[in-house]
Amino acid sequence: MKCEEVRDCLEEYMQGEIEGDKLQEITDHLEACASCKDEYTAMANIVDNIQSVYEGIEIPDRLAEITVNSKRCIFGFGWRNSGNVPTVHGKTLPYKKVVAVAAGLLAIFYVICLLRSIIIF
Amino acid sequence: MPADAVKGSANTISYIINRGDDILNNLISEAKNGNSNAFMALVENIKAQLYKTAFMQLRNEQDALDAVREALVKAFAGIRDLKQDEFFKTWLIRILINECRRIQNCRGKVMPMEKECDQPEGAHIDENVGSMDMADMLEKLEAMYIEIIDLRYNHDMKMEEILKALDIPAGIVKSRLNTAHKILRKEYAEGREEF
Repeated sequence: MKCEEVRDCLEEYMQGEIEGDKLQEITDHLEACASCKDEYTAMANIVDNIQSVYEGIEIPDRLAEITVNSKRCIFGFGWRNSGNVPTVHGKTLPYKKVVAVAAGLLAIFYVICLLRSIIIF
Repeated sequence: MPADAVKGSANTISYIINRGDDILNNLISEAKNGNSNAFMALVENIKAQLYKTAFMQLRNEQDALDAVREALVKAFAGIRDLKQDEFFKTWLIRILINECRRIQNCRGKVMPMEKECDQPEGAHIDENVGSMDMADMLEKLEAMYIEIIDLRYNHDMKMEEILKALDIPAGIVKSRLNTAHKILRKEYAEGREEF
């Protein structure tokens, strides 16, 4: 393998994303080539430094307070679009059943009214 | 039992998440049904990483907290749009990055690199004699390089995950990462010479 090829995938090699024959070829090359080995050490040093910057970022206490609220709207408008199904205590409402039962009751009421009007007149 | 699982402590939740994809998928489907506890259980162990991502982009505690809050609210509202559950984390980070960009645009923040162009050459180096450390160097990086560095070394993402998170081709991910490394290497070497 040429130095140029090795350096091109040095970062992926360092992150353990190179597999198979290529992995061995790069390892062998780094053993033999001092200049690529230096390149690798320098890169590893940069990555170590970046990771310590991240480790040094303080996490504010207020982060723990961030939360989201359940959409507990029952028959609210727009929940289909917002991607939230109405829930109660985290359980999805059987809204289809509720609508079907309501429609059935209305139909029965209508029939009764109709029958009464036929009988009276 | 996802309903019981979400009531547990943070440790229990991490344990449950680590236990297997089945439970993870259960939590995601609970969250899709509008269960906020399930959603928060999903994000609990990456919340700190998410905050760090936002902080590196916005360099301000309040802005970073706002970005995380907004991103979580948007993610929860739109979780039904998540087609492949295994990309939950990638999808969430992408929402956060977009939120950071939105905040940057809204508040009219000038990117450090653009600011630098107005300064006479070498001005920033003189300014930083003896104090040139990695945090300063990262602060000077352009947003697109910070994004890559962040996904790679804060979230430990693979190349494949990064290109999905940023929605850019693999070649660009690689070249941006290499460029970011070159810039940091150059500045790091310059910083050392100054000592």
